[in-house]
Amino acid sequence: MSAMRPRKKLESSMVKETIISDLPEHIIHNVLSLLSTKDAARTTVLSKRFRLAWTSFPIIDLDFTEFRNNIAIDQFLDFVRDSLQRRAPNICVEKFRLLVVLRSMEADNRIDGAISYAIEHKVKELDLHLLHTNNFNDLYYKLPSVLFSVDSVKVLKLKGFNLETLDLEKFPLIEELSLISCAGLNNLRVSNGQLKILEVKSCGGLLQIDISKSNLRSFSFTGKHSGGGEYENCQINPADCHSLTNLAIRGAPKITSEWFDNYVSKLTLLENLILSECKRLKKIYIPNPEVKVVEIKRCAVLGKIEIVAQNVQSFVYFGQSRPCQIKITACRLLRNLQLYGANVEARWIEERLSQLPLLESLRLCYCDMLRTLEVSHEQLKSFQLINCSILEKAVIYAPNLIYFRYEGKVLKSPLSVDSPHLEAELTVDSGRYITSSDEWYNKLRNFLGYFDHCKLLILNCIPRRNLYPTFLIFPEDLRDTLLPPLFDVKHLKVKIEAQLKDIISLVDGLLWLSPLLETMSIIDSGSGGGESSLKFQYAKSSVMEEMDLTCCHSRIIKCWRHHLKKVSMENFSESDRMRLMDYFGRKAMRLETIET
Amino acid sequence: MSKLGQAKRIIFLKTADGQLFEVDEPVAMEFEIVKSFFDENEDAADDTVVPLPNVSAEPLAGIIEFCKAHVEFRANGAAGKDEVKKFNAEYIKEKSNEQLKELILAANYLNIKEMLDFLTETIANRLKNKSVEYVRAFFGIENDFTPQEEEAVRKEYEWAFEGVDED
Repeated sequence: MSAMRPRKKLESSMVKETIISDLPEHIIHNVLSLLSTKDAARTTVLSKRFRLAWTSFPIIDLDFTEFRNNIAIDQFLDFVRDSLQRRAPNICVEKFRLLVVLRSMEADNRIDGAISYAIEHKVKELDLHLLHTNNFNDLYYKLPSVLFSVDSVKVLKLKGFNLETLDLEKFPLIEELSLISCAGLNNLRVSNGQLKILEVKSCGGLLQIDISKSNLRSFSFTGKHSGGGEYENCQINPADCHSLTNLAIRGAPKITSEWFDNYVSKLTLLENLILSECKRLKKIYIPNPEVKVVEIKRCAVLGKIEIVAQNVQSFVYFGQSRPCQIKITACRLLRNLQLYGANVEARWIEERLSQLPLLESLRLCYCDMLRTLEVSHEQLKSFQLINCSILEKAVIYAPNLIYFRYEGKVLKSPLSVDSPHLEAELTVDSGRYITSSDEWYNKLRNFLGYFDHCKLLILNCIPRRNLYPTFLIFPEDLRDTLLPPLFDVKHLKVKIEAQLKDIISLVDGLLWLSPLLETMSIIDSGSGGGESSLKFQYAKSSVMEEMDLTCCHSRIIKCWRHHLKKVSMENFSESDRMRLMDYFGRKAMRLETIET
Repeated sequence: MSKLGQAKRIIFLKTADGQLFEVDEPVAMEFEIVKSFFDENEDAADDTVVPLPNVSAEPLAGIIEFCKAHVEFRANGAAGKDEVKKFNAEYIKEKSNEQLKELILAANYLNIKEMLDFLTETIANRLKNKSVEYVRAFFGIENDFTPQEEEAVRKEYEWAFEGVDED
C-alpha cells in the first residue's frame, strides 16, 4: 500500500459512521487471530465494540518475547494475571499459549493461575513454554496440580516442566502431545487411542517410551544430549503403531538393526522416515511400500542401507566418510538425491543416474572418492557439487538443468555443464595458490571460462575462505594478455560478506571479466544484505575513432569502454553512486545517459 | 438434467435489490449457501432462481468476479502461485473500506471460506503496526470511550503502544 492512499481515504471516511465495527464478532475474531498479540491488544482502545471482541477472543497468546523490550518479567506476569481477570466471563478458550522466561523455577501463582484459567475455560489447545534465563541450567517448573487431569485438552505442548506426575490416561481427548526439554519422567506410556501426534525432545532422565494400542500417525523423538556429542539412553518400544506415517528418531543410542527390523520395517503406512545419530545402528533395510522420504544422518557405524521400497521420492544420506553400502536400485521414482560425506565412487553415481529417470535434484557434498564424474541426465533440474576434495574433472550433460552450484577448488580440467538455461553459482577455493599470483589468475580465468554460456552467473566471495572480492579483480597487466573469460555472460551477480571498501575496482574488475554485461548485481550481506545493481546498454556501431586507439590497443577483444551507451544504477549508497557516476563519466567513451 | 449434456449449467441468483445474476455452476457452487440450497432441493428445476435476501448487487458482482478467477486458477493448477497473489492484490487495491466491509458481510452470508479468509487477512494487514488514531481514521471507527475510559484501557496495554509506525 502506498503511503498516499490511506490519507485520501482519511478525509472521505470521516463523515461515515462506523465501518468495520459492525462486522460480526467472529469476523473480528478472525482478524485478531491474524495479528500479533501486540497489534491485537492495541485494537482494544479503538472502541467499546473492539474491546468487547478482545475480551471474548478465544485465542490467548501471551508471549514474553514479544514484550521483552518493553517490560520486565515480573511486570509481564502481572499483566498476564490482570488481562485474564478482565476477560469476558463464560468464554471457552480455544488456544492458550504462554511463553515466559523465568529467573527462578519456584512456583508462581500468576503462572499457575493462568494455567488454571485456561483449564477452567475448557481449553482445547494448551501450549506452555517456560524457559529459565540460564539455558544450561537443568531447572524445571513443577507441573501444577490442575494439570494432572484435563478433560478438554486436545493439544498439549509442554516445555521446561518437571513431569513426575504426568499421566496421559488423565487426558481422555488428547490428540497431540509435545514434550520438549522436560524432566522427571522416567517412563512415558502411550496407550491412548486418540493420540495422533507425539513429539518428545530433549527430555532428561527418560528411560523408556512404550507405545501400544495406538493410532499414532506421527512420532518424533530426539534424545537428550549428555555432553561430548553423546545422548542419554532411552528405550523406545513402539509395539503397536500400524497407522504411523511419520517417524523421526534422532540421538537414540539404544536403536539397533534388530530394533529397526522389529518395529520400523513392519510399518506398512510409513511415508516419512528420518534417522539421525543412532550410533549403534549397523544396517538398515527399508521395505515399507508407502515410504516417500528417507533421511539417514550421522549414524556412526552404519555399514549398509538397502531400500527396496519402490515409492521413495527423496533420499538424503549424511555419512561421515566411512564405508557404507547404499542400495537404492529399487527406488526408480526418486526425484531428490542428496549425499553428504558418502563413500561412493563416480561409477556408482553414474549408474544410479542412468536408472533414475525422474531425478530432478542432485546434491553431492564432501563425497571424497569422486575424481572424475560424467553425468548425463535428461530430467535433472538442479545439481550441486560441493567440496568433493579430490574431484578433478566433471562433465555434465543435462539439457533441462536450470541451476548448478559448485563449491571447491579451481579445477584444472574442464567442469563442463551442458545446458541452455543455466544459472550457475560458484564458490571457489584458492587451494595452494596465492590469490595474488599470476598462476592463480591464469587458473581462475580458465575455470571461469567454463561458465561463459550461463544465463546468470553468481560468484561468491567468502572472507572466511580468504576470498575477498579482490580475488576476482584481475591485475591490469594480465588484462592485456588474457582473454576475458565471461565474454558471453549477460547477467552477473556477486555475493560478498564483508562490507565493500572499493566499489570502483570491483565494478572495473567485473567489467573486464564480462565486457558485454547487461546487469551486474552486488549483494553485500556485510551491510545488511541489500542488493545494488547496474544495468548497461551498448551502442551498436563499432566504427573505431581516434579515441579508441588510446585504449586497450593490444587486446583482441575491445573493453567495455568503447560501446557503453547507458548505465542505470539502483540501490547504491550516496557515496558509491557519486563515485560510480564519476567513474563511468570518465571511462566510457560513448556514454549518453546515467540513470540513478 | 443438463449434467448429461455438454452445455454448461447456469445458476440464477436474485439479490436483495431485485437484480438477477446468471452464474456458471462451478462458480455458484463456491457459495456454500447456494450449494446447500441445491443439496436440499435435489429436484429443483434448472431455471430455479435462488433468492439471496441479504446481499445486494454491487458486492455480489465483486464476489462473482473473485470466485470466477479462483475457479479458473484451480482448474489451471495455478492455485497458490504468484499469479493468484497478483490477482488478489489487484482485486483489493481499488476497494474502499466501505466496499471491503460489504464484501465481507456478503462473503460471510454466502459462506465462501476462501474469499472470507482473504478479506479478513486484508483487514489484518491494514491494521498491522498502525497507531490507534490511524486505524480509527482509516476505517472510520467511532471512538465511544470517554477520555477517562480510554486512558484506563491504554494503561492496561501500555506496552502495546510503543514502536508503531508513524501516522
